[in-house]
Amino acid sequence: MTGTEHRKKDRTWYRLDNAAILYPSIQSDRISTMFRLSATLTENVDPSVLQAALNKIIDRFPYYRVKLSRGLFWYYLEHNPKTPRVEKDVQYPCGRLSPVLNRNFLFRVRYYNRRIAVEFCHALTDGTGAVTFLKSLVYQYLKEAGKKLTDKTGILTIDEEPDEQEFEDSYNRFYKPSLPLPETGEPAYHIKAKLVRKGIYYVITGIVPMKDILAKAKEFNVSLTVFLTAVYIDAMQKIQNRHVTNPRKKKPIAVSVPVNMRNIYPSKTMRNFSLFVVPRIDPRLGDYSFEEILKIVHYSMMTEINEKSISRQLSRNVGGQRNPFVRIIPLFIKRLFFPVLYRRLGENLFSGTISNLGLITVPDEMAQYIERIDFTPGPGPVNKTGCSVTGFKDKLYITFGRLTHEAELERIFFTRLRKMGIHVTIESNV
Amino acid sequence: MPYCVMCGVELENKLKSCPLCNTPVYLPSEPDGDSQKPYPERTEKRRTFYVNLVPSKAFVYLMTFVLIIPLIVCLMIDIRRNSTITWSFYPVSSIILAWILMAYPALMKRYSFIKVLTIDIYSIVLFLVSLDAYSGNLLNWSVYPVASLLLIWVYFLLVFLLGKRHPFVLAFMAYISTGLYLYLVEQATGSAWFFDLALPIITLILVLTLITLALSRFSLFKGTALFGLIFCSISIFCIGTEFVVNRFVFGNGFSLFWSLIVTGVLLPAAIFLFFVRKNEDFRIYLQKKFHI
Repeated sequence: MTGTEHRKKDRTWYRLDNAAILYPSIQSDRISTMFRLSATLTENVDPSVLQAALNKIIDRFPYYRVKLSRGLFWYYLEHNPKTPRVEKDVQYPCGRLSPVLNRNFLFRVRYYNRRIAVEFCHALTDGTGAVTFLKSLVYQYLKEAGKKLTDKTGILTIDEEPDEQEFEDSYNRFYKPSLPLPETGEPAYHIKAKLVRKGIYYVITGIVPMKDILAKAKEFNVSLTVFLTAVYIDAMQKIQNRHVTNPRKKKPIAVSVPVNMRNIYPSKTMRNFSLFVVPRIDPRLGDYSFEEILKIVHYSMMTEINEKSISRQLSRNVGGQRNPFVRIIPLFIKRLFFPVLYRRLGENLFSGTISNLGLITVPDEMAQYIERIDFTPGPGPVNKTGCSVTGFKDKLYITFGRLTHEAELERIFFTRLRKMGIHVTIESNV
Repeated sequence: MPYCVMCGVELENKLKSCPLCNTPVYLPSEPDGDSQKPYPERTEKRRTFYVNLVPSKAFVYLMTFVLIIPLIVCLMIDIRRNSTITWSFYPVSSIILAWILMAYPALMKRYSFIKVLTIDIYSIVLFLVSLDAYSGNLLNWSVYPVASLLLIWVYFLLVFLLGKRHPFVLAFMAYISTGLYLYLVEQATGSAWFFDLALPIITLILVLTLITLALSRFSLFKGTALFGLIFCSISIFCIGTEFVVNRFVFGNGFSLFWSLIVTGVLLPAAIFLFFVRKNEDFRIYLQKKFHI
């Protein structure tokens, strides 16, 4: 690389995308804003080979080779000239980033036995971006390890230059001004439990045969996401019934289901581009049967996941960011309001999150070296429990992360599946 | 017919990229060049600037009748009492002026801004001159408002005729007309300040304007650095003006005071802007830290 090229890179900087602007301000020991994707290979991971692979692919993802800096009005991302280092995995994933230990990067790469894990700060990208990065990293790792790989469908490799469209803030591109505000529901029910000590994050993964659970969903005539969301809501309803006996003190149960906006809008962005729909039931009206919940979830997803309704949410968010009065406020004052905003428009409104990345596919000759791909949600102190789902090959990996001692929700969730005759294998870091 | 690889929509033959998502169209074989576009290409028309400060015809009719009553009443009273027109000249001519100002554009077929302005200014001029003449002496006090109105009209006319195409000529013509106006006023008041005070100041303005215009074509002075250039011109103008004024009032032009304060503020600001323009690293640093 020539000197001028170096200088040019050092000068590049990016605005945070619309979803990312909140995260730097709300980061704390409790809300680490980190989530994790991991791939388990068939052989043990060699850290030096992994480091070599990371060194090569990091320049394919210039928008991830960044550090967070503060301007007078906004945070921004700027090129980080350091090289990211792979590190050993820890017991509790998704911990808060340490700028020093992590060389100012907003993601980290961890290895443990046969597993390669990437943990991303949500300010950088969403699940889709992270899974693309993980696939590229594993692809490059396998190549470095001497495997013969020729098919690279769906994988960003170092042979190509980063596309201009991968950098864009798609929220801004598809923003439509002056749409009516979306309806924000009332605050939802949250599990009441003492939080664990800071730094601890319990993860439970349930491994389910894909064909069984798909057959079950088909039996109810709904999609897999709808089915899992309904099981989740049903579990939350049972928890509320157990803890809140007075029906007038009950609160609605709402679950946020992130939607990959790349499926709705034509976007190739590698930064954040997801919003969520919130199916909800109101237990003050009485107990809902599983079939009723399924119906509500199914139809609310059908009506809400389309370009028109989702663009209301998008326009509210981007409109707020574009508001001249908001823009002119110095960052240190914005920082005071963002956590409030995050609670009001985010976590307070739902009882939990269920994020389904869907079936992750890699080329067949690469798939033979990969055993599984997991997705771990980030910790949230209000919801306390979150859920992420990935499918890989013939298995479904349902991962819960929680900040409480009791795994009540997980238990009800997985036993429910068992009662339906679905085989579940449980793993945990406890 | 090609398809957009992103949106999946079928695209019309001539399109180079998808109108929905901007993905370029990949065509293995060029389509025939004879096929017609479904819509003609858009041609930009030069639009003349029309202002709608025009009341509707109905309003003009209404106002004509409303105005005609006081007009007749004034004339009747005056003629019955004095058997000729005396004081009623003033209300009657005012009413006629008001009617012209209001009704003229409405009765014109195509009323451009400059046409309406010309008619209005000339009717006011005529009104003022006739008032002045009626009170006994042609062009007594009416010289000042008439000359000012004509100067304003000349400014508008210059901008209208020359526009942005000939900024140098525009500046020069404005200089000459302003000079003439000031000279006329000086002659009318019978004092002597034109050559010592007015002429040097407007000449300074002309020279600075021409220099600024000429320099603004260099790339160093593009963008925000243009403000730096303007700041420099303002500084020089202030120094020059204070020099001329001091010499005229006190006889000694070199005891500068207030213009130095202006210069002390604007000149460093201008140098800062030039520096920002020249130094790319510094500019990117500022963009990073202060983007809103």
